[in-house]
Amino acid sequence: MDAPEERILTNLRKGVLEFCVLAYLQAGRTYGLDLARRLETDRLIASEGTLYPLLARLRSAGMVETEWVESDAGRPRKYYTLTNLGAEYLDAFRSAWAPLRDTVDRTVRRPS
Amino acid sequence: MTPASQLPIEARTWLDDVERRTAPLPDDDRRELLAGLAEHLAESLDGGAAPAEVLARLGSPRDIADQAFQQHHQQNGVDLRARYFNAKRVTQYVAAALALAAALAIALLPSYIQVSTTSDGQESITSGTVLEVVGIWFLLVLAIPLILAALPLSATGRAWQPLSIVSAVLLSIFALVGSLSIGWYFVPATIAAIVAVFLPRHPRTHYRRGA
Repeated sequence: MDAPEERILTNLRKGVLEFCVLAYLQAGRTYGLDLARRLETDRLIASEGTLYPLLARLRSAGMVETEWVESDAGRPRKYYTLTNLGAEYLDAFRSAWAPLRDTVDRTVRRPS
Repeated sequence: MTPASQLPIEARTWLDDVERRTAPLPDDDRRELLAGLAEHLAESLDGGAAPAEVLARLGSPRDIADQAFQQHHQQNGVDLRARYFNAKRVTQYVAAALALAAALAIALLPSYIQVSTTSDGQESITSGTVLEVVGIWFLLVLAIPLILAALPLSATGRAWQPLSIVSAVLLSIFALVGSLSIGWYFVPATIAAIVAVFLPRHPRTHYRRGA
């Protein structure tokens, strides 16, 4: 990937990443490793570790909660879940995103 | 819950690196970040992955610390990344400037008087600047406190505080030892150097978490 595209991508992700994380959690509680892998596969984060500062912030902002769950794997796992506040915040994003996305698409579309 | 101490050495070193780089962050944020990373490491390694590969996929401690400062900035509007210039650094520059001023005053002010008795009992009085009377080699002596004051200026990271302490202690000794002659000229610089030792290396901010 060229350098300018990488920079642009990094900046675009900054705005939307937290909402993607909240949406993943709305679909079902997840543990860190699983979330990190999915985000990295979807190329929403550059490296798995950069998820954790975001999770820490979302938790301190009350959007996300953690709980330890016993698993068949033997060791208890730390699961992240969406709070009501987080769900409200995600809904607010959805309201803002759809019209913005359409406007930007329309605006930057290459003239045919 | 796997305690971090049970992780292999490369993972522990990597986590320590993240911890060190995120020192300016509020304690709970840093603790939560490290806990998340430790859990990620424990879970991956339990699954049988090689430490080197897991750490490569996690990314560099530097990138993670950068991300942590960005998140903090987004949340609180304060940029906590380490800066070269802060109160500590400025104070050390002040110490170096005071040392330079003292050295110049000693070298250039015609204030030194040397009285000596000649062999036939006559008193001879020589006056001028210290350099004129004592000799140009005295510049080397004057250079000592200058070098001591400048010692911490180029340091960043771990060496900074030890160098700050060494600088302050040696300047104090110089000022004391030379207190009967030129030493007390360097007292202002010594005081600035001592004050700088007690100033924090980086900004620390403590917040009360909002509801």
